[in-house]
Amino acid sequence: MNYEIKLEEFQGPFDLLLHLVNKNEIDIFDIPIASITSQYLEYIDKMKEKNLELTSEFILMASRLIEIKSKMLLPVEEDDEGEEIDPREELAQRLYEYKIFKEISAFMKEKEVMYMKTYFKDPEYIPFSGEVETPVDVQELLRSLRNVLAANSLILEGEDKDIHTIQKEVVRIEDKIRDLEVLLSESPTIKFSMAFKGAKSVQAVVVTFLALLQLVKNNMVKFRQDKNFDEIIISRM
Amino acid sequence: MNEKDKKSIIESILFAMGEPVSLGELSQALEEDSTSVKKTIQELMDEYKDAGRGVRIKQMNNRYQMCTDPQNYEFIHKLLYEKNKASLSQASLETLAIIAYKQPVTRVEIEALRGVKSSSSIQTLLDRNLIKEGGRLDAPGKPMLFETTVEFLKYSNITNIKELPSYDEFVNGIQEKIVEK
Repeated sequence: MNYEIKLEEFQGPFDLLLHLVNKNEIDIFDIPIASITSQYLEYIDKMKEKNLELTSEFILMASRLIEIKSKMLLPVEEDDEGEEIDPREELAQRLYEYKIFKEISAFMKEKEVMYMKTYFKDPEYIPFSGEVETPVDVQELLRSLRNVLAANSLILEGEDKDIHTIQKEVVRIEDKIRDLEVLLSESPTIKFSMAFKGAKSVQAVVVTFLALLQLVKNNMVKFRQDKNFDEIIISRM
Repeated sequence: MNEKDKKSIIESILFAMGEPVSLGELSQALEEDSTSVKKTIQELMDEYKDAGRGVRIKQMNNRYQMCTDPQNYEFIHKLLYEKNKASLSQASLETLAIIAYKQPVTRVEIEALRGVKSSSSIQTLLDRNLIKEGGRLDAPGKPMLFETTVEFLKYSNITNIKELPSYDEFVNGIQEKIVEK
């Protein structure tokens, strides 16, 4: 028999088997296993020829078909009630169920046509202002936290210590430059350490240093060191 | 509030909301009991249909949503050209059919019926909001169960999952075809 199979059409081994059953106009519950198996294997070979990805499900089904075919050659087994066991029974049942769902999916497809032609409108878009008012003050929250902790016999770490409010120290380079200029207007030269007098934090020291670099860059001041490890002298230009 | 006002309000709410609005929400907004609201909305739906209006009201379970008349699709399509409204693949359709009739159902059960791996089809259906995760089966591994959504009702053009033709109808359909042969 010479025929062309559109390879991509099949969803899986059941789909292919169903195709073969329909093609040969046979009853699912009375499949001529030998003939169907050889047709199935022929298809598998075609897939290989065309270098199509052969999923494991197709191979598994091939081995099941061959197994059933060999069982058909053996003397008929009987179940507990003396009924003859058809080795094809289980496969036929699954194939039949698949056929029903394929039928249902065709029904779904019909429904889809209508669905695709219907439009729905999106909900009105009302942007969220992003502002949430919380009418609770910080002290109130802290008191609540303490109550919760007390109720659970927990202690807030360092609870007994005073709670300080830490002010953020803002030292701007521009301000520091102005300070240094004032300092240099009073005396034409100052010692390097003098520039840092009164700096209370690391941030203040860093800012002062950056201010000095800025002044040098702008040719406002120059640095001088008389000998190694001597203190640097800053002088006005 | 007379019937005319009620209809007008319901119409405006459905238009503004866009998404499916439940009977409960509508009766809350109208401050009327749900039985009378349901009757009013049914009348409104019939009026739309009888007058051959381009806008329809669709019912899904106890939710209502406005939509266009599918017959006008071609005309809308001329102006509103969509890229992403692709139809489902055969694989996804089969998976959807199984979930619709076997729900709640696990991935393994779906794959046993189809005979092939189905995780990508399931993902597509989840992305399309046609199915959702509906808890886990009390079995080893606690597998996820899948079921259909309100969007699925819209998809299959029914107001309630019970309106789907029964499984036996399809079985009988196949039997008849066999007998014909």
